Amino acid sequence: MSMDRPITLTLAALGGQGGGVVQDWMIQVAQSAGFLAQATSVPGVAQRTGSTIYYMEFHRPGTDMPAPIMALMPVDGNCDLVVAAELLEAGRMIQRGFVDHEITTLVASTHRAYTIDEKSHLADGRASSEELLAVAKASSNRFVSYDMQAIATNHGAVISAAILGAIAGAGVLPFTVEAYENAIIAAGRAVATNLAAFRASLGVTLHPEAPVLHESVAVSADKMIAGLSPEVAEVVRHALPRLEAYQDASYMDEYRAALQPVVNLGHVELAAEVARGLALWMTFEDTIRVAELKTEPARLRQFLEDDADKLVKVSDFMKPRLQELAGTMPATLGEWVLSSKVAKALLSPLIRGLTLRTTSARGYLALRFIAQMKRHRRRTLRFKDEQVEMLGWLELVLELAKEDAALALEIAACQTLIKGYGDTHANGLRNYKRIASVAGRLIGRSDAASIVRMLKQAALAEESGRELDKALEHLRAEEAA
Amino acid sequence: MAERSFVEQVALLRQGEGDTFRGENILAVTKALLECGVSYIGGYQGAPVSHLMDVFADAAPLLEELSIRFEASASEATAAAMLAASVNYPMRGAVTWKSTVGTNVASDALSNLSSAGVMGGALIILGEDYGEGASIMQERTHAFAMKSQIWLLDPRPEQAHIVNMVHQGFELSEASATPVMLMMRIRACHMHGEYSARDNVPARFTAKDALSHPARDPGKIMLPPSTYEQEQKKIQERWPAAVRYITEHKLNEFLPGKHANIGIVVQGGLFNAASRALATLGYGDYFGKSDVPVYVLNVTYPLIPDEFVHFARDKDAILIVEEGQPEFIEQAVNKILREADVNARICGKDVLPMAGEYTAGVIRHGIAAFLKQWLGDNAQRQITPVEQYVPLRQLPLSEPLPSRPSGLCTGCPERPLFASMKLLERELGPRHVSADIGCNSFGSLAPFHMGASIMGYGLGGASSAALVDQGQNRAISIMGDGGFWHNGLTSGISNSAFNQTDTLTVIVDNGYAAATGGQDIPSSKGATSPRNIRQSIEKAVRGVGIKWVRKVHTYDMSRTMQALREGLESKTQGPKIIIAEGECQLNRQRRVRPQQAAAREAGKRVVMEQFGIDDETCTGDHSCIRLSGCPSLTIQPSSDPLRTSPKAHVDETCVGCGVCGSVAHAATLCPSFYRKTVVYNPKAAERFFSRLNHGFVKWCLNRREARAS
Repeated sequence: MSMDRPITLTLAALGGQGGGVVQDWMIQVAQSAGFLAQATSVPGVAQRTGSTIYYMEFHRPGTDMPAPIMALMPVDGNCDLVVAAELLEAGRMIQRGFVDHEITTLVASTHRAYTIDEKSHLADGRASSEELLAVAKASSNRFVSYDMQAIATNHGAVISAAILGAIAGAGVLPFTVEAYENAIIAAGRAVATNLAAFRASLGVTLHPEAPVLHESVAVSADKMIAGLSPEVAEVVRHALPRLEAYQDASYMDEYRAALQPVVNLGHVELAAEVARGLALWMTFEDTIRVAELKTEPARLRQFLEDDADKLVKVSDFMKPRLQELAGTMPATLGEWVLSSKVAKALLSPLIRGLTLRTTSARGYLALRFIAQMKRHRRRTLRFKDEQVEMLGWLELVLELAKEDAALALEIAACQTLIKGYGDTHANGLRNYKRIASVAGRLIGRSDAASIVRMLKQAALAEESGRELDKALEHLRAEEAA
Repeated sequence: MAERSFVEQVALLRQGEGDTFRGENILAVTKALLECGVSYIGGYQGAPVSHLMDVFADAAPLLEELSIRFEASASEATAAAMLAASVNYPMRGAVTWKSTVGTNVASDALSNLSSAGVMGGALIILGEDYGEGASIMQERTHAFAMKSQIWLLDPRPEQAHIVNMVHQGFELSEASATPVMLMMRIRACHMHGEYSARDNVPARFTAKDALSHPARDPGKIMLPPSTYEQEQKKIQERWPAAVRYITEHKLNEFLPGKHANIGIVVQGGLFNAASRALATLGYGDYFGKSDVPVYVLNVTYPLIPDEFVHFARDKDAILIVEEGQPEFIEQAVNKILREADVNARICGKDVLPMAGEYTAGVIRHGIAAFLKQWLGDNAQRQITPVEQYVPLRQLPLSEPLPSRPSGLCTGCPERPLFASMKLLERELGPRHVSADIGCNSFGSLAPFHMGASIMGYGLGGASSAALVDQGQNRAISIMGDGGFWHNGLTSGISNSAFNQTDTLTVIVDNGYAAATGGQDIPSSKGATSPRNIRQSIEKAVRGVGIKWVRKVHTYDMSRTMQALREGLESKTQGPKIIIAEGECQLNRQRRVRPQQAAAREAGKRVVMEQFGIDDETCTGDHSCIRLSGCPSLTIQPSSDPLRTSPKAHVDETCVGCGVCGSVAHAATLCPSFYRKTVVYNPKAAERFFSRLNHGFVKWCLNRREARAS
């Protein structure tokens, strides 16, 4: 009985990553080295955004070798090289038991292709890459990780070529670099770009570089920041230019003045959270801000360079509702518009989907006209409404802080619920207000802060607010009991 | 096949004696059919056997040379009925489909076929869609074999062996006058291998031979008293003949092993997994050798009692490795051995899981438990069976690993349809939605969640038949164009016209059987097809008596929503049909990309579009993603230190379908989206105006910046 075990390669890939191409290359590589290669996959699964496993076994050439029997699926304890073409899939390989910490070399691309649940979360539903990397390192005999997608993109190739480089560089399979390169050449498709990406990826595995640490920017000793603790100063430093660009220099003073009472409380975490929320609230996304962002010189310049044989046009999609139109008007006029059927009828033709070509004179001027209304912003209906809500939030935070700083902090953090445009914004604001309305009742309870945090999570769990309804109902029932 | 070519694979089909065939097993089976002298081939596509149909669809000249009739059947029932040619004539024929779903559809014809019996060999190639990667409910084909007495081959997944079993399958069919099914699991179909090719054999008995001498045998008609005689014949003649053939030709295999007091019986298709399980336990090698005797059932129906008695007679215990449920084989073996007074203990589902795929990892745990129990002190090494097989390990993560469900492709025309439905749901409240098979079934997953039931291919319409309440809260049925032509036109549409069923049915017209790989269907609109395409769904629908029909283009979301609203709110009672058009993007890209590249190369004007999101305008609420789910619409870390939620982002795989813009408008979503249109080789006037516009905007920007500084 021969105990020669095949060398195995397991590749976890997503649709569009070219897992099948890698498999074809590998069969070629192995056969050219005189090895017997067996391979299988379930390609249909990957096609529509799913993940799938490509599995290969390689037998050393031997005389009188009987026909080997292929396992068809990776078996734990038999996986020599496991390659994940995306970081989450590396986790899945470990979860399925294919990564053995005594024999398996795990190579993973560190880029993320987010799943639908991660993407559609109302705030941040991403799996933690740091945790995944730690698990991968702890689970495998050797762990190699880098961004294969970036390498592929840099060389105008599909990630499959970078994956092949990772396989070659992992040092597990007994094939020469030439054999891999010849397989790419023999396949005859996009040879130049594939070779470039292959070599670049191989280079990374052979000479891994120390990760580049982001240098922290020195905090400027602005007078507005003087006297603030570093955590608060950091937020304020980011907030100030945003406020100035949004309105004007005096807007920064208003911000600083509004923040000061919270700073005076001496609770650093609370002050930082309010500094963040206040800056966002003061720079709410109205039509004026959108028009300004859309006509930013830095944004537009990248679209304005025409080549001899190609030109670029950019169209922006906007659909203001009546509320947005009224919001940009002086408060009294805006209020009348919202309450008057006549005004509604007159303005209705304007309330439709607009597709503005911002790179044309017409589109640009139309947007600049709106952006120019910035100087009147403080008189608009929207500004007035936002001021009321914002000051209410600030007052509530200050009031709660006197009794329960942790509760105040959670309410301050609820500002994050308010974002987006149109209905999304209205829903967020409504959810915030519902949570804020129960905050006062919670004073004195030891679990007040955690209740508010739970309510915030409920508001973020689902768009329509049904989860928040349930949570509030639960709270009411509990209070009644 | 409309937008894909299988020329390379067709070339492999021409190999002959002396050539070594190298490729996937399913292609080897395709080639093997030609070596068996078949007269006709039919089938319905579906993973994992689509490839067989696709390759033959592109092989017209070769099939003509061999006098083989090929049909892309309208359904599995059509394909099964095609085998009727082998009832009265010595014609060999083969059909294929995905099982068990396709076998369900075909079962009427299969029952009648197997009752009448065949003269020419009739082989049914089944892609057994069970286990990882399966897209259907988990059932066994085995039950069909048992109820109709169709023989079931489950060959060991080694290419030369599978090819041999195709040859043997025809011989067995003819020797026992019974149709034969040959099943292959998904990974076995896609496994690469090689075998020594044989020459192709032209049809031995052609349609011409048959039609010029029509034959008829009253004993093969499905009416009494023939039906009673047929049943007797099955039992008294055909079954014993099959058992004889299988025994004499040694279709099942016996592998010796030194631990003769025990044995393992394994379905052929699971042999590789069982072999690897033994190897990793130290009771076998990687080349199929085993320390425990193994009986490989390449034929899983009928079972051969004598072989079982012979295998089990002197053993303490045998383990039956049988995937899926119920455990038909294990039950039958209990009867066989009891009747023969063989007292070997029969193990199986006591140590192996009753349900779910049998991978080598799963089988290893069962075999380990079996060996530990029965080898005891004779065990050559310590075996530690894991009490419970753990398919997924716990990872030390703060949140569970997110799953990656299937979804609609980038640019899919069904996305704006489901987005429209979701927006309408916000307006009118939730409605009951009956989903169907096809790409459209992904509408029932995140982020749309449109669909409460899936009853079968083309049955979306029929699934709503009971859910009618005088026009109140009208239910919505979804049906793909593939399902429509497969049976939905009769089972759903015609039925609702006949019964005046008050529902709204949306027929998704994307131009292909898209989910199975983009095959042509009667309403395909491609430029070239050997088949009769461009049939009108609208005319067909009106032809069966539907009065209320609307046609919309899915990307026009406002019209789509308007039609849906009308269909749901209309006072008119009776069935309402919306035909939602939009070409399958995958196939469209296959066609358009090379054309665009060639046109660009040739200096012709080419327009390409991509969408983008302004990072600063996006607030990271992801409401756009919840209405789209497009793979190219994703998230990226926020560069804004104040807003830490990841921002929406369109990656480079965007095909510019336009749905982002439509959704932004229809949902009054957010102004972050922009469309970048690149015109290659623009016309002179266009270039002039572009320069003028861009020059003006640049001048304005310069002025603004000069003033600011």
